[in-house]
Amino acid sequence: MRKFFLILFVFTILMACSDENKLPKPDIYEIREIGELSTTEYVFSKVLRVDDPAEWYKFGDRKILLSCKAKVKAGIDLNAIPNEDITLKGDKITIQLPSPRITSFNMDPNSVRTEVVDVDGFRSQFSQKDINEILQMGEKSIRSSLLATGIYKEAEKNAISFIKEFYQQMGYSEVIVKIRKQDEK
Amino acid sequence: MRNKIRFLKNLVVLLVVGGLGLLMYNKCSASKGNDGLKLSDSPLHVESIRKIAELATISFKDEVVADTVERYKNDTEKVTGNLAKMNDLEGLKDVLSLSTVKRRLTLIIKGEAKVGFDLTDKNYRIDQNKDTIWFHFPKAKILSVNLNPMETEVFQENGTWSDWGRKALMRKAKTIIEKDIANAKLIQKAEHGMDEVLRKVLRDERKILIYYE
Repeated sequence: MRKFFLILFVFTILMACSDENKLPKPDIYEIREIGELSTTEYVFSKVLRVDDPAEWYKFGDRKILLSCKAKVKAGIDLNAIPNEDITLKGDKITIQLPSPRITSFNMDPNSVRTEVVDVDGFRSQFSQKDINEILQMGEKSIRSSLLATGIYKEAEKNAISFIKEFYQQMGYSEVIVKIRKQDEK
Repeated sequence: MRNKIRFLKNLVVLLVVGGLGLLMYNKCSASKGNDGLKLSDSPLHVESIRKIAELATISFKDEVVADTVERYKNDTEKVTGNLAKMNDLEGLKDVLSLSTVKRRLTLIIKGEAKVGFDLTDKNYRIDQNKDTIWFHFPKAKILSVNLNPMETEVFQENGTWSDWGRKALMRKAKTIIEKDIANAKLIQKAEHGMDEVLRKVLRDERKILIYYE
């Protein structure tokens, strides 16, 4: 009887520990019509240094140094121009563009490199889960620093120049392009 | 006296067992929670600045599961490989089931792609007279496929993986998204989007003709 239960127990455990984890089903994709004019592209690089120091319950340190790059595009949303912001008078046109915004942010996975890893004997190595978490912190940090880089000013300047040239090619002799400040509307 | 020795013996055994338990916890638990990971402050370098003119008319968001599995080649490798996994809590499950999986990495990635027109090199032409405006634009294309860490989840990680393994999976995810874009005929839809955008920003009475070449 005892043997029977032992065999049953082992069999149950073996059956419970499935070899293949079921893969999740991805969500249905989303398609949206937009009208974004990207006018500037910045490439940023950043070194991500992470220390995982010893605590009372952890023996030894873990350190890692990663380098990464992010390609960021900024521009204006042409669909956000209300009808009243485009005025025509003969061959003179006045356009008020919305404030520039980030149109694309790409932290290229191929540009991520592990430069240095230092793990004490009693600690586990950095897993890909750890590295992804560090990269998430890096992405957050880059996104929060964008305002200070001048990317919005550059996008604004280039958008004005592109729109002017575009309308001039359509035969308008005078093209006035302004940027609507965020607090104006 | 005998009781004292027994007490000391028990204490030593308890300390050794406790210490070993703590060491095992350190060795195996790091991938479970990373409250200790702290990013040091480092400056952001601007590598390059480029003036571009890209008009995106379609935004496409897709969720992709990228998975890679490596299996043991024979039974000997299976037994030794599974036994070697015993130093990991996750690995114990493989030992019990005599798993055929040597290592496995699965990522769930939410990507965003933009489809539209690259006008950076002024590769478009506008002709006009008093009745009609003719626009000649290049063909639409995929302008960007963005796969970022904040939209990436490591669903399962079995065994040791290098950066190369993760990068290969990300490339796989990018290819899947590009295929989905082709299947959804988004390049053609982008041209329709361009018509819409132009009609919105042009307040012109003239007839508008748009060509993609």
